[in-house]
Amino acid sequence: MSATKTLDIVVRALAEQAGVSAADVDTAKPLSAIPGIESVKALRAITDIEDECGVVIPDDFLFETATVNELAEFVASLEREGTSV
Amino acid sequence: MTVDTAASDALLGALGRFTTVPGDIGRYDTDAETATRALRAELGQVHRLADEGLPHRIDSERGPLFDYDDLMNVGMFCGTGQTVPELGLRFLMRFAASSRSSWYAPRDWQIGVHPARTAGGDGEDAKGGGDQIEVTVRLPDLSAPGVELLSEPLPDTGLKTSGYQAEVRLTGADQTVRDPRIHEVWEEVVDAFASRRVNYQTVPETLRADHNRAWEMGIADCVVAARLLAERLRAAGLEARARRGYLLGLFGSDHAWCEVVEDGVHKSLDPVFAFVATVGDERGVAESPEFARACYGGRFNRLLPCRTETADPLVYFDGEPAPYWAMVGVSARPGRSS
Repeated sequence: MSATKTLDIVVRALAEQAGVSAADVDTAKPLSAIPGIESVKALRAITDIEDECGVVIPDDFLFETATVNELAEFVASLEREGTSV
Repeated sequence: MTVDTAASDALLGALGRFTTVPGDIGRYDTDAETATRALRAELGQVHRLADEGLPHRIDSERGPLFDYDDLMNVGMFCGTGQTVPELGLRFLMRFAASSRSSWYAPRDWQIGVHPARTAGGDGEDAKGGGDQIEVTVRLPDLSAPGVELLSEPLPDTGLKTSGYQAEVRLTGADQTVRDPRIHEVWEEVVDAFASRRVNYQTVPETLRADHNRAWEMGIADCVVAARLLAERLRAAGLEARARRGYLLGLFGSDHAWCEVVEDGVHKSLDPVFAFVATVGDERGVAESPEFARACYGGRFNRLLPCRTETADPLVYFDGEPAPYWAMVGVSARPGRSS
């Protein structure tokens, strides 16, 4: 899967759970900056991303205040490494 | 853009997969609006639950009112993967799938215990009269093996009003149990779950207090199992206690387990974790026989015991055990030095 497609999946999942359009997701900012997002909605988005991409994102990464871009890059790296569920 | 919710009949699949709260214990005070938030559902779906037999009572102004534990079990068994109980199980148990050494290595945690005061289960405090509630929380057991406080001292009492923040270092222990008397009692409890003679589901605090009744009804959660195990071990002549505290992770969670003393060492016995790790489930919990074995004696660096030896509640509202949704206000992050 290309990095661009992974970013699309990540943005779409976060936007859907936050109840905003994809254009409202600033990929250079942390997940917490997405309008309407909070912890349970963020975790729902993470499960959607994991299920769609077939990866498991370690808790330690999720504890960090990563940007949306960094999350997408990390997921893409897991996909390349073949970390599957 | 709207947020997708579960299919119109998705929640109905949960009915029949768990035992509803007995009528003499049920507290039918959760309205359909609150249920929609906790279950990630629409009003019509919640009303269908009532139509299809989920116990409720009708209030002339608020409509159908449900027992919150029944709703949590609907969430646990509906299989949508999006409800609060399903997310909690998926994220809390994922550490079981990590490397064995990561279960035991010293790990620093910043914890915040500020219980939510209003229902919803989604981190969105609804407007209500929550500020009038007197909240009491149980403090961590800093004398327990593997627990070290890194921040300012906490009060030397079992309970404290309001909430607290603290940084702790938790160190696990890779150990097992060899006494055949312990093994016999352990197998009996774990086998009851594995054979489905006892269903692992949420049990209301009132029924947890009568753990033998719950077990005879064929239902148990971590508190019921911990108390039952401790009681049976003591009956077999062993020193045992039922522990309760927080499972630290992306979700704040109340968890209970048992401890037995062998060779002068407190060893943890966690039948619920062992069961879940043995069977896995569709909620994204991986099977891990190695982790299941570690639940027989091992101590994990994500479990913070609080000051109770009988698995008493961690949070009280006005002196009564607080509802499940109070846990929304419990947070944990890796400590500064991690």
